[in-house]
Amino acid sequence: MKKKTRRDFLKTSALIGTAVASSSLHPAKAGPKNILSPDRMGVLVDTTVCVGCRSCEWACKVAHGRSTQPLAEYEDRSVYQTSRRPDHESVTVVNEHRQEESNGTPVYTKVQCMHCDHPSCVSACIVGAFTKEENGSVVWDTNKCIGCRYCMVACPFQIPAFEFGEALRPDVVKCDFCFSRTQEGKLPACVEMCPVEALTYGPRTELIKVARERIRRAPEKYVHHIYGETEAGGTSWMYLASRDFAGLGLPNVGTHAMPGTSESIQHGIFAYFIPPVLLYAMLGGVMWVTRRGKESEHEELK
Amino acid sequence: MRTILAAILGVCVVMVAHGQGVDKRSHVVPGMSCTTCHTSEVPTKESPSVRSCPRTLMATVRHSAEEGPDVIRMNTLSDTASLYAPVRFTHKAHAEMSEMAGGCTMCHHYNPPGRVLGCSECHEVSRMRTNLGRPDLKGAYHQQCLDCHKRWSNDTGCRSCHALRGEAGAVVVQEGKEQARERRHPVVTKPARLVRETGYDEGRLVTFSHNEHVDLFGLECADCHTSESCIRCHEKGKSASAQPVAASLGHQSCERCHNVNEQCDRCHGAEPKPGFNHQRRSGWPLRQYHEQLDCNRCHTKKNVFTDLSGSCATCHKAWTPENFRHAVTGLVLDQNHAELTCDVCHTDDRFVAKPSCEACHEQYTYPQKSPGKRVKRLAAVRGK
Ligand code: SF4
Ligand code: SF4
Repeated sequence: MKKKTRRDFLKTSALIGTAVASSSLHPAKAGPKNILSPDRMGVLVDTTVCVGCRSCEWACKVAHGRSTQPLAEYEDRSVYQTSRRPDHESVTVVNEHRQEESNGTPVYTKVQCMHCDHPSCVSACIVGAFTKEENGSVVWDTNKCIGCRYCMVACPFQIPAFEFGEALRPDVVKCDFCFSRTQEGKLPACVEMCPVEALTYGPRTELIKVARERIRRAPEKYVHHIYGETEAGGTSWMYLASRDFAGLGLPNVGTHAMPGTSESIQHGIFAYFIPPVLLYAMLGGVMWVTRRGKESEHEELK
Repeated sequence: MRTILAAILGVCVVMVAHGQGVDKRSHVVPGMSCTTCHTSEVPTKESPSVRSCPRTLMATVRHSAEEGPDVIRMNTLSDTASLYAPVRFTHKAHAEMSEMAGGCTMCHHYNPPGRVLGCSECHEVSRMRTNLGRPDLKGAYHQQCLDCHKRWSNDTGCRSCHALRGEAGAVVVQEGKEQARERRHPVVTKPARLVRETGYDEGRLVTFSHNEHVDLFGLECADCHTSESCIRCHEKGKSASAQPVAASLGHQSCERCHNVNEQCDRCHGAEPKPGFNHQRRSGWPLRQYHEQLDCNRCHTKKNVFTDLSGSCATCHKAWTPENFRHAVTGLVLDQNHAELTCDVCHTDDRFVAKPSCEACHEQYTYPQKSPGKRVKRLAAVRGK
């Protein structure tokens, strides 16, 4: 006999779940901690300055107590032969983007969580494991996470990684903007380490001014756009570049904040403490609702 | 006693007016307003009211490579816990390289006139700071170095400048102090006269007297070679190629001084042009004493050669018909003629044309008839 799959289970429980939820749903009052402080901090990454030394990768690992090879070995540039994504071992990676004409100097792009102003991961997480803190960091709490990986699907930048190798207690892993360091008044480890100061840490509003000034002073050097100022509704990490951002691994995600469709239902859960037994059902319902929404969108397009 | 007091007072007034303690002569740049760098017209030492960096306009510092230090050990940020040892920077060799590019300003940007400031005088040591528009010292050092180095060799490896600290067997590329002191950029050979073929039909050949621009008119390399990076004359493999620098610049390198939309025939022609001739260019021949002077004795504005009228008083401000010693011309006027005003004999106010006797002596001509006694010209006359 065919084993009952997780999906089958979700499908059935979703029906029950939505029924329960809709019977008790009132306008949501409390939600996950999602603060958009006007003083939130950010980082400006100037890819015209970055030299691809990957010291930031090393500093990140050391600051987060992860094992790493010695710094001197990071000078080996062979890693640049493949393009990498942040994963559960390296929450930030630097990629090299060569120019078509081979003699042009390559551009290096550091990739990590963008710490969105309106983070999809925060909205998507049904247990409130993700929070957007006052200083701009989007952080994640291992004790609340139930491992549903909805954040991974929701993130427009495909950032949250999952420790698939950990059988017992797999964690979702992503850059935490060095939350504990910044709480102690220190700089994020990568910012502190970067030898060329390609990474500038400061109030987001201030960084936008700095970025505009750099473009104004060297208009021939920069694309006249600050990636992250409006992307996905604005992000704490922002980029300057000499060429088209899409070619540097910074996707064109539009200017709309991603969260929306499923938010109210999820927040309802928290407001009214729906028994944990129904959580999986809820999730299934959410997925079903969203999928149906997408399908009908497609139908409209046809 | 009174004169001493007056002198002291005078000095004080000058100091107050021009920023106490600042050496006015080296700090004030002709043609540049104080407000380029200061927000106030009368900055003082107590209240220098300096505009915050980076400023939009900047003063340029011009010094020769010889004036700077040979080698600098950059140890302001020295940290014994760091993997990398402080860099021994071959300052003179780099200063020599910059002479073919932007000069000192390539690194010492926004430097006020006068003393050359080191990086740490503006760039803060701490990365935790309020002025985010200006990189910290570590960032500033590395940005300056790597901006050229990455174009030069694509090599941004830490060890191309830093020695590893105390690691036995590590490849130490850094030279010893003495070796570093010896490091020089080979002298760049200057061309004499360049003749180029162009697509301009009415004058296919352009003649450029490189030697005259450098030796005669006193231009510095960086006046024309404004953005030459190393890779303009070197292949990436660091071998110097014979490719002439600025070959492709066209009008760009000339139009900073010349109006290239007029007087095309000054440079363009069917034949190569002869060298510079003061009389042909200005109608004013250089003779006797003037011939021996550097251009800038009369043309005092840097790189501007067109603003003199040709009348003696432009430079010789103190000359009057009464105090002019005619003997310097090789002719002592006799008593009758010494009492005349200049324009009786010199009918043009530039004193170029032959003097005329017509006003008094109808049949006389100069030099058949002389108004005085010929003498040997005075050897050294400091024109006043
Ligand atoms: S980049 Fe992704 S993981 Fe980071 S805050 Fe935005 S949505 Fe969340
Ligand atoms: S440390 Fe700075 S220069 Fe080095 S790769 Fe990271 S961002 Fe780029």
